Amino acid sequence: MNLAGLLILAISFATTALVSFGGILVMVPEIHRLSVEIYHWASDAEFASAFAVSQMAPGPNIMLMSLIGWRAFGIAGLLVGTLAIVIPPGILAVVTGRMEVKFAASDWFKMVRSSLPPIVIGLMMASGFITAKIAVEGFVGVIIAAGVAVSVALTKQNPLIPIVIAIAIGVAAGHFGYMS
Amino acid sequence: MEAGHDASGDGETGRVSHVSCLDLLLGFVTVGMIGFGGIANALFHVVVDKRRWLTAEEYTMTFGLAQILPGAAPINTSIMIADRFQGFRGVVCAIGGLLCVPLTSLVLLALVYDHFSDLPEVRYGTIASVAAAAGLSLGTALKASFRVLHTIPKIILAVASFAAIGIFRVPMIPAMIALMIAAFAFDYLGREK
Repeated sequence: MNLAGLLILAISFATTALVSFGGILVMVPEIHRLSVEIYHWASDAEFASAFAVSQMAPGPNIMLMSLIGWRAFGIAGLLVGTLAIVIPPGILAVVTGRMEVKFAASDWFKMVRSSLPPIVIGLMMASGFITAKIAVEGFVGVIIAAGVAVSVALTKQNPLIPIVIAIAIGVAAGHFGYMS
Repeated sequence: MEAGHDASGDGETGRVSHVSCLDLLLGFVTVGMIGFGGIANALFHVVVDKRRWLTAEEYTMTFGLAQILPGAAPINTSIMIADRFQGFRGVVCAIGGLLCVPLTSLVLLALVYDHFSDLPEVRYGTIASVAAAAGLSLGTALKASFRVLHTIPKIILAVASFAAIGIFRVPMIPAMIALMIAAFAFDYLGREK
């Protein structure tokens, strides 16, 4: 077992989790930077397929990180990658939850709540941009990304629906030769 | 956030008073199993509608807190709920329950995927699904920007965080520290007036 590699996986994912305000999708650029560009746990294509598979499985969105861990270090990597994302923010959640009422009234809470949204918006944009750059090639991909973006921005439905429609369109478009 | 959530008085809120570790385990297994495309909707359905562990108001307040913490808000919410009923043991049951089915299906799906990854259809589906995920992030950001980006400092913050992470690929930890300091400074200066 590659203990040094697992340790790097744990520390890099855990520290990333601790600064990722705004959910799991905002972590995608950093996870890509770490696992493809810095530590070479996956190629661009492997990252893209991990992303796709993690979306098809039920459960929380953190499973992209689980799968990166699994591909690089087997079952130990699966568990370490998953828990590194869950535990550090989880400890903060327990502490916060136990002082819920006091905390919600504090100035610090109000300041964080009012300052975070613009940053999160920028991070989400970056996440979409990097995600598109990883795998989207050709005009069908661009049309799918734009179509999902518009439908998510303008409606309130479960995002799973546009994603399923997008996959169907992609497979059909590829079948008829419209995808390189 | 309303006043008057003074902890006592769940007399007629219609929620259960005792939640055991086994309840947490089974409830969260359900959340993991039915949560496609993220677990946020499934979590509300199980915790509030089906098992009545929390009222909708309590859930919303807990979720609101979880959203300003780092990490995945639905997972942080699950951890807070489990901790509230059964402490550390409850958290272990909840997270174990939440992750066991998804992680198993993830590995099985990945093995099936590897087996068929040479098929062109699988490649098209992968590209389409990642394109859709890109669209999901962009659409979510777009939707929020209509609501949030009304002042120059907020637009500057959004553009700066996009450029730092999306264009210049700055490591996230220093980027976030700098952005948060800038955001607090804007917030502070804005309040002085």
